[in-house]
Amino acid sequence: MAVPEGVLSWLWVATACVVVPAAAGRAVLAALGLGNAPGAVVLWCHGYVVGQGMAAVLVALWLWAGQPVPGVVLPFLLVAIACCRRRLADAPARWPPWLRVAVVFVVVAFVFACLRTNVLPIIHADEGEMWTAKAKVLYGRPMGSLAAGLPWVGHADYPSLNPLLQVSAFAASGRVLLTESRLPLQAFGIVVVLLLAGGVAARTRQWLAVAAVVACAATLGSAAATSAYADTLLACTLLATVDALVRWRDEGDPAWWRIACIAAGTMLASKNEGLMWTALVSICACATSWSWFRQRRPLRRRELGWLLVPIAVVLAGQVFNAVHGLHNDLVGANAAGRGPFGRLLDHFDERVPMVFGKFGRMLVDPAPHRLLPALCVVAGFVAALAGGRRFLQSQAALVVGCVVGGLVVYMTVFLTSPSDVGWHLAVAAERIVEHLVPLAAYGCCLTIAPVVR
Amino acid sequence: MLRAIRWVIGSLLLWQAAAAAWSLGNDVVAMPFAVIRSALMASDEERLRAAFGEDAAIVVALLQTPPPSGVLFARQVVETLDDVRREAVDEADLHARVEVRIARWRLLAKIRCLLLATTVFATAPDPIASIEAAAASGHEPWLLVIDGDEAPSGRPGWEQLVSNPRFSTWRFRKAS
Repeated sequence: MAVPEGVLSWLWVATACVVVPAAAGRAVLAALGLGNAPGAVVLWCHGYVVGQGMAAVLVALWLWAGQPVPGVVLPFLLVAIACCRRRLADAPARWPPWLRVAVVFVVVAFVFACLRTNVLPIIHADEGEMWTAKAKVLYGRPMGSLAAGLPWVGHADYPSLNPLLQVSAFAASGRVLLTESRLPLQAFGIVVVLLLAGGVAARTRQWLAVAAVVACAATLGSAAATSAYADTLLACTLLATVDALVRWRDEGDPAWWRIACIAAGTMLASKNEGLMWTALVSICACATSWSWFRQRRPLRRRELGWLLVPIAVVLAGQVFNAVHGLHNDLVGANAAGRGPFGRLLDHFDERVPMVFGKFGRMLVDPAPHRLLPALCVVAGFVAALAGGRRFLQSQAALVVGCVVGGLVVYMTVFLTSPSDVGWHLAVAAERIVEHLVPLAAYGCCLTIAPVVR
Repeated sequence: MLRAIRWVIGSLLLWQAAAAAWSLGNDVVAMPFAVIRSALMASDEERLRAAFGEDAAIVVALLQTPPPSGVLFARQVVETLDDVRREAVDEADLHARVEVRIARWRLLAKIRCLLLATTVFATAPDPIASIEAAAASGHEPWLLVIDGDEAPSGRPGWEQLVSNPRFSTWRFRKAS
């Protein structure tokens, strides 16, 4: 019996655009000096984030050069990188048994949710009109004629990691795919669960780790997570950045600092909110690390050079937008010529009740996962009361600080919105709060019942 | 006191996890095998048929044979709500007329999204005039006529490429 063409296409995209980038990223982690101690799952998950960042760079260069070789060559270049890795067996994940069961359960549930989404091709909403539209224009038109296609893309100025990963699927298959290009993005949904489980496995009690992972996974059942939106991409890269920073502070291994810088680069390339999160994580990391930093002096000067990775990502995005005359409507002036600060002042009185009301209702919505940010904030407050100044130097303070800061900044973004704020809240608020749900779950674990390492 | 608050927060988290597990488990158990089969095995054409219904023929035809010029025109939804209200005989008729226009607007948006790799799908109030004007400057966009639109039948220079009860595509060549 012949294998249906649809199945072959899925298998090929899964291999070329999910497994191969993860293997290449794992090889890069080894090259960065990371040993095998964190365990296979953590290494492969961080490897996936790093590998997809690398794949996106490769695809961008391939497009910029005018697609000089068939796209099917790209996964083989990543295979070559993966083969350079020293062959050392990864340590098995030392996770409590119920955490393993929970992770298998939520991954299976997420795969089923993805299958439900994948019945239909990508044809509408943000995934069709923004992300996949940009991927189709980048892939289907030579670099010099992008100007003809970009005006038809919704928010063409948004960062390009999502479209580039979809282009990698098109390139590997040699054609524009209607559905399968979701796969590299959907895989971030699995990676975020595994990263969360790996991050909290040894840092909290088993029951709490299980509860946090399962509650967080309810977010992944939403349409934004199983489709080709960039929200799960951002949530995953944000968690990867914070997890790498936390591990760096725990273990002092500079490889984790390098990985945090690369993960921040992928976060910056995923959505504009990545810039806000990078600033927030940096501020919270500096604020909670100063005494640790003074005692251990963990960074040599050349390690600071890794900050060039996120800086380069931002510059590349700005250059692309400048070359193609693209502007961001959130930070630009509206029709009345008012910038974000002017809009904040103009509409402050009428918008504050709407924005606070919406966020307040969301934070106490008992639907699964909704309570996580609120629980994290309350648990952080309690931990701060109990721990005093010691808490302010802890890993938990870093994570809780990011969650609190993220909520405040997101509310401010809505206050400055150039659109009708009621509509903007209705279409975006619930989706963007999902960015910080995995981080909030992580924060709950570090504050409610931390295990001293 | 603080310890008690921590237990309360932990309990709330456990409740959230239980609710999430119940919801995720139900979704898995309730998934029909046909959905899994369709997600994994369906061809592109079957997926398009599932998404577009009767209109799938339009996108299949355009994906198989995109216009060589890379530009396709169709009639824009130009009527305002006031226009529709004037035509409607009662509230139910108004509702039906609005639904028809929203459905058309959605269809055009989906077609634009699907074709974007090869084709710019533009809409205009009078696409026939737009294409004839474009031909004057050497371009050769195609015209998509969807059920109910005015077709350029009988106009000089127009040639029908695809004819289907639901739609037709047309090409205009300026007389040399």
